[in-house]
Amino acid sequence: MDEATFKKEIRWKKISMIFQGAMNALNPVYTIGYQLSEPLIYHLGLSKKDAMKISMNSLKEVGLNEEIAKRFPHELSGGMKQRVIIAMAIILRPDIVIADEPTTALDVIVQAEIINLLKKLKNEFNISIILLTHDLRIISKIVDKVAIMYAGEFIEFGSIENIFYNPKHPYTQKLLASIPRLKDEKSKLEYIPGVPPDLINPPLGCKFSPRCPYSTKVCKEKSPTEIQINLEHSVKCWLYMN
Amino acid sequence: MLNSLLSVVMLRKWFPLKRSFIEFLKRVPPSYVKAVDGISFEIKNKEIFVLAGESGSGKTTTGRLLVKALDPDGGKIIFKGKDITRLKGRELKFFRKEAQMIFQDPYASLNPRFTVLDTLMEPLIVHGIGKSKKERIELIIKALDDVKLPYEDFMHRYPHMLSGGQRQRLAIARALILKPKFIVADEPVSMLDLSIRAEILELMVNLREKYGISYLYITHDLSTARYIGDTLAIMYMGKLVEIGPLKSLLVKPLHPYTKALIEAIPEPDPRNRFKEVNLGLKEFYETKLLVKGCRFFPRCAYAKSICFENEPKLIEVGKNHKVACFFI
Repeated sequence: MDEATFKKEIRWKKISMIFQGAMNALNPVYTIGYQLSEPLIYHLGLSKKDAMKISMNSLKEVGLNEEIAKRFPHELSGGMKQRVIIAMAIILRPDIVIADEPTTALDVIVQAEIINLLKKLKNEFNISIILLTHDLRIISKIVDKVAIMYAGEFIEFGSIENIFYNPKHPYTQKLLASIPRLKDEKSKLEYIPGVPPDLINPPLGCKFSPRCPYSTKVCKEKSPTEIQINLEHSVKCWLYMN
Repeated sequence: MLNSLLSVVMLRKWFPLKRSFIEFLKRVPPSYVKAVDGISFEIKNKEIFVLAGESGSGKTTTGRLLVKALDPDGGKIIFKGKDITRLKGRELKFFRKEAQMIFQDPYASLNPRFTVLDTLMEPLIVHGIGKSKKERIELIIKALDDVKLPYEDFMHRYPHMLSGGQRQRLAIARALILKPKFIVADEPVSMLDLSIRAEILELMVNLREKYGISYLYITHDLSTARYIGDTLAIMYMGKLVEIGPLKSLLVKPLHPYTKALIEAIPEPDPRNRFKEVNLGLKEFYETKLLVKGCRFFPRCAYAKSICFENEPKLIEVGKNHKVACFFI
């Protein structure tokens, strides 16, 4: 498929994206209504007036007042902007929405509201969501399958129950232990010592080996291959090779 | 027994909104954003005092008032028994040394043209600490050692050569180098990856033990506060709505807003994905500040007519535990 057809047929129509940092993702010099109707005008060839009607309706879908269409981004709060970005992503009813850290810059209350909204839209419009985040707490609220990525590779992949109750890769285990929880016995949080690897000169063998507490000689020499633990769970780690 | 390091009485900061020229001529009185509107509390020696609330609740303004980066419009700040509310310039220099701040965004709070050495040297020169350069460098080595940045590797690096966690550790070293007694940490970990937050928090706690520092820890995320805090104060639109010992307050919150803040924290449990979070808040509400009544009234699911008529005061309900709500 060439770039032109991809642009026309796939981008935003089939796959759309919610960008990180809602604060900066909107154009400050256009009204919300205009920015929302842009994909309708370019992709579906609607008139400005019709497009505006649909945009107002989509504002309602994400729980905002129609009258916001006439406002500019700087007049909205962070949570409202994030809702506008979500409305924009679903306005052409795509099959897949890529959500890149949709809640990072927001405070906890708005974060909970946005997660509720994403869940509602997912069920209402049958959308698949690819959620990119560093916060495993958010994952547990919405996701079905998790892929844990480290230095450009999937190191563990599985259903959320497998990942949360039976993490295999030391990195996943460490990530889970570093989640601050309100209701548990532990009084100390764990963290992963060291820094993410330099991707220009990545370490030999398993890329996590310099930070891994279980690393052995083989880890530093050869990269592990993927091992199937069960139907819904696979991991790349030497610990499970035999 | 712990004793008081810093106490605040009815602290107030109102930011005036711009009037148009016509309004100015017509002498329309200016309206204000009441960022901090009469709060009182006390921070004890070696205490970590957590100030929580959502964005716009005035918690950062409070932090800035306490290090005198802003001047209050009313109320009193008493530091080590001395009223510092109205002090300015040279009289305040002793306080500048004793009170430091760690900012939220380590990508913006460090000068990109200063190396690690320059960043740490500047406060020493300003306050005239250390007689020679050699003496100062020794102090810098010690401060870097305290935050676990190896001196040889980092001395001549610029901020862009550091990772987020390393930048925040440098910011802590900068706050620490003057040996302060009080540090305001304004969301020090919210910009960092979850996997290194714990490292920074642990560092802060260790330094408290080592140097006897008190912290004002400002955050919206109570789950990180839980691991380090002693006292918790919840702020809403410029007022304290609940204050008490952190441990008991998290188990038994009384104010509906505190309950919502606690409910909003995602617990890492995959079963949660089948249910919605219920915060007990109205999601959409009038944001205009009410003239009278409880500030939380427009959002509160339990509000009755009395909340609209009168403003609740902070009332003592248990040992050191105070709440501002009519229905307790």
